[in-house]
Amino acid sequence: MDCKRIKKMFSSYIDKELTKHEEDIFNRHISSCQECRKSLREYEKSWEMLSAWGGISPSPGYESRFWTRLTTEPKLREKFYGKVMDIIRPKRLVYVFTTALLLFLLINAGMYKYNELQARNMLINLDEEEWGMLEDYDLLAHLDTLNGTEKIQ
Amino acid sequence: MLDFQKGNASSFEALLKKYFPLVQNFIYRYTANRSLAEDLTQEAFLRVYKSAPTYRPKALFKTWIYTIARNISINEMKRKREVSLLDEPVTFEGEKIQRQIEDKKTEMQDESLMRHETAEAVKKAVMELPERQRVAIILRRYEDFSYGDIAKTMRISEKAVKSLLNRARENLRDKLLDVMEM
Repeated sequence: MDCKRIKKMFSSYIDKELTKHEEDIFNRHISSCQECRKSLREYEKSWEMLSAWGGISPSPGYESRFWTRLTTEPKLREKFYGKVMDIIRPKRLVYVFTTALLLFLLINAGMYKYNELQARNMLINLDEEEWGMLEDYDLLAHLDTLNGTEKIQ
Repeated sequence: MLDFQKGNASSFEALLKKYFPLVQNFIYRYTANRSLAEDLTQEAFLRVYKSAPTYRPKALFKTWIYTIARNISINEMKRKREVSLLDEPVTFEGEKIQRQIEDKKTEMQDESLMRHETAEAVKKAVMELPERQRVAIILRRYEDFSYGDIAKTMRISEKAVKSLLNRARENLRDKLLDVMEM
């Protein structure tokens, strides 16, 4: 077996995960190949070195801190209401209403201007006959009809 | 876990006692941040506690809690990507070793300094591994997981675990070669 394939077995060898057959082949190669022997020693050494990075222990009272957190942790529904309240809390409410009012006024002003322009365009485009009809039309008498309600006789 | 699901509260306490230190160590080695480790471990157990009513024993509790811990850690690391991971002093056998080490001449202190340097080099090497290799190495080296349990925790095949560990070991060897005493 070549060195490349043997090197792929290093990890399994260290973990004792090779089959008996694989181990025999591996050992035969290692005993005859100085290069692989050196590499294997480096793999093993670096694996041993990992123990230098020690672990940590939970700090005292970790269990009680967990139970406290469990009871104080807001539930999903509370979290949702919290988000909603964040949006509509008084300070922000002022901005929301001011923006809404400005938008309302702008839209109304726009609509008024648009209607006025429409009426002006209509009058400009009237021909002579239509002007005559308009002059003959008694606006005051037909006020209710123009408003959409029939005058009760 | 099944006992706890049936309403036995003391079962959860037993799980907490047994697995909290292990999971905390896993997260500590994943994030290299001691204070974050306890916080995220609490988060992992909160998830376990809350998902107890819907828990189905498809996998071992051990592999399940480590999967949760890994997911929480991944999310946290994404959130805090800008924060340097190597700011915390390394700990050695539970004792904090400060970054600034005075020049002490006794044999004991030299040894301590060497161990500290090795620990720093190891920590840096592990943290520089790609995420999947790092998880595989931590589970195998520090948590003593079998290939099968690593595969279940990481949701990959055992063959993939073998390959990950081999690449991780190769990387570690390359990174630690300078501090290695042969």
